[in-house]
Amino acid sequence: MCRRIQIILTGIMLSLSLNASAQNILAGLATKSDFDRIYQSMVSTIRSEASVEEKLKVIHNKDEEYLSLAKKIMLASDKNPAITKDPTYAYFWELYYKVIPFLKLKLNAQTKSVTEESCLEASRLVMVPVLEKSEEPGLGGLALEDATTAELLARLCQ
Amino acid sequence: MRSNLKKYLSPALLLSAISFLTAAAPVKNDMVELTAFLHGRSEAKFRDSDNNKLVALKPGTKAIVDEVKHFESGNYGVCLRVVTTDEGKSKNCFWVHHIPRSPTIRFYNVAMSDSDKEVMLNAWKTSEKVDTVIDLKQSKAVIDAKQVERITEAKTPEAGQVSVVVRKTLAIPVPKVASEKAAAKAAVPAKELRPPSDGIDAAGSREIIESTLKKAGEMNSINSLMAPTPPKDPCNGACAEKTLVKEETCTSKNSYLQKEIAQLSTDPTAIVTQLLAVDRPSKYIKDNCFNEAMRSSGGPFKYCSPGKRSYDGGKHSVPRACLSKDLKKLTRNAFDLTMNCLGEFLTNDSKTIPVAAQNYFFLLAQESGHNPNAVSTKNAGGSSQLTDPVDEETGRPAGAVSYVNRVEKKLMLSFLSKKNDPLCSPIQQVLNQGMGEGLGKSCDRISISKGNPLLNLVYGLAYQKYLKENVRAYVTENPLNKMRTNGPFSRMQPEAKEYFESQVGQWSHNTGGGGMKKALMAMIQEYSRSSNRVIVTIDDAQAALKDLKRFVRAKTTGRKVEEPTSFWENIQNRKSTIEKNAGGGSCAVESK
Repeated sequence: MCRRIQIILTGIMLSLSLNASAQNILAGLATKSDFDRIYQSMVSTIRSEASVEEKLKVIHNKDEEYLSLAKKIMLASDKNPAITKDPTYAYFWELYYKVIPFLKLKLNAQTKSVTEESCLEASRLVMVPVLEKSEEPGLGGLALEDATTAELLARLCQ
Repeated sequence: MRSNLKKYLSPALLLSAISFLTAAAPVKNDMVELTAFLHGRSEAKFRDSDNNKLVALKPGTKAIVDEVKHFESGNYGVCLRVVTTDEGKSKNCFWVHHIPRSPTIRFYNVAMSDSDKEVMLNAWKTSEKVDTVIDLKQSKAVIDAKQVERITEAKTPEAGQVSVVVRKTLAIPVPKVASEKAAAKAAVPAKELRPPSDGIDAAGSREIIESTLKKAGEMNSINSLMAPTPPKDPCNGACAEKTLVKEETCTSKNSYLQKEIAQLSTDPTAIVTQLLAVDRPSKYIKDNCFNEAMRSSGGPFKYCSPGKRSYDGGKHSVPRACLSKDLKKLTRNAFDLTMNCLGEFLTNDSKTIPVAAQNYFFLLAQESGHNPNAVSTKNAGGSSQLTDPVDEETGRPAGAVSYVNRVEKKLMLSFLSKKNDPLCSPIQQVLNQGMGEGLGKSCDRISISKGNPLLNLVYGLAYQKYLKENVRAYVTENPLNKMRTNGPFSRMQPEAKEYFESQVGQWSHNTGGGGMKKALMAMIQEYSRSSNRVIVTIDDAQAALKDLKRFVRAKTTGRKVEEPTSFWENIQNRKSTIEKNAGGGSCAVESK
């Protein structure tokens, strides 16, 4: 009995120590607020009066910055899989989905400038389904705009 | 290709001169094929309590009708002598229950010379390698629980009722066909083939068939002399292309689409007229697969007469429209035109269009069976089952139709304008006209006069584009997924990537783009924690797709879980069924 308790306690201690070490590693790499800061900087630039070219340049730079931070965490997670369980890990993934439509527009702009077409292609990625509101929930896949991203895209494309 | 054509020309022509009928009563010596599992019984009593089940007959079983009993309910007992089995089992006939309102037996009426019959029977006997008769007494374990559930049973007791043997039949010889066109002409509508009752009696007809079976061996010998390398399988694995051309009889109840097509095609500028003007087989899908997909769809179906705006509120469904030559041609040509003109819009690569056409074909087969007026109980409409629900916050339609109108329609018109192909003008025409949004204009999704099925196919393809692009942007091309040295999507081969994107896109047609995104994200998170869940090859992608089911199930909310969870699997099953029932082999037209 005592031996069992000892094993369980050891397991708990080990797990806590692993998590602590994961958090320590992450704390040295990036925090949620680091990613938030980069994204908000992108948003405020898009809302600014800067030219489209300037806005796209900022998106490009901020994207690089975001990915650079993310990459450090990803590479660290190759060595220490416990990192993937840290909330920051899930957070930068989720937040990056909001960056992707702008990234698409940036990539399009490299080849065909910001045209109505490249904006429409980027806006494909702003649609999310409204499963619970449908005539036939989920069937046919239903689209509704992600309002914030749509507004930002509209500003970029106007 | 030329030598292949030569090799199969004769059997193909002969086989094409066989007509198909569904509406007429079964008669002795009809040639039939089962489309579902059926119990074969020792007598024409079909109650659960009747202890007379001998065998389970698999879908695809081909047989000759030995005897028919007509019940007062309008249903039939049909005794079948199975052709696609070993000689021992083919000696007996097995009674099966035929319910004309929900048929599970296809009846072929042979209206040709003895030699033509020989070819057909010979093809049946030699093309099916798998025994389609499961002996219930000897091998019960062979049938799993799912199969047993699918075995059709009589719901109304029809045992001991007075039965009457229905009318006799005969085979009317038709002139030998000398060309493909002549063969098509020789396929007389089934109604005309039914003879008056004073024709050759049943015994005479039976003799013809039996002599046909005997002659089959001789026929093989003749073939061996004429062809340098006669194939064992007369279709050489490509029966879907070569087997029966099946025509359905139109009745007053199911000819509504045919009538509308006929009426519209008097206008030379109508989309229908332009589509019917093309007379060549599909570039992508074998004709029999179109037949099979359309025939096997269960509906429900609705009819929007010209001028009607919405199918909502109509309580009464209509029967499936009869598969007239024009309707089949319209469906096939609309599909081909969509893929020819917009295939590259969907794939970004002209080389992958044939594969994309296959994917889209089977998606539509699952959704509507390519029937342009299929409407689900929840109002999804047309070939691709488009919906357009109202967003409660804005009060405006915000579904697939509205989305295509706002985003993809402009992109497609721009793409077509650059393509500058005059053959694509019908698509530009339907796109410029557009599809009305919301349930109030739901007839736009199904009405032939509004340019369907072309309009619906184009909108459905555009929606596939959206879904596929989402998978690409958020998963396979997501920079985060590429940066880890051993991340799940970091080392994907191009063909695996294309396969994964298209299959998940297909699946998302049911789950919705966002629903699938949630499932994919959960999968990525889980796979990221394990260094050995890396998707590199097509096999890996296939394994991941099978595993994705688990995540779709976990992430589906607000609706029944099973339908979205099994949707992709159901498409694969549907593909197998269509290919098998269409005669075996792939539905894909081989590239020349």
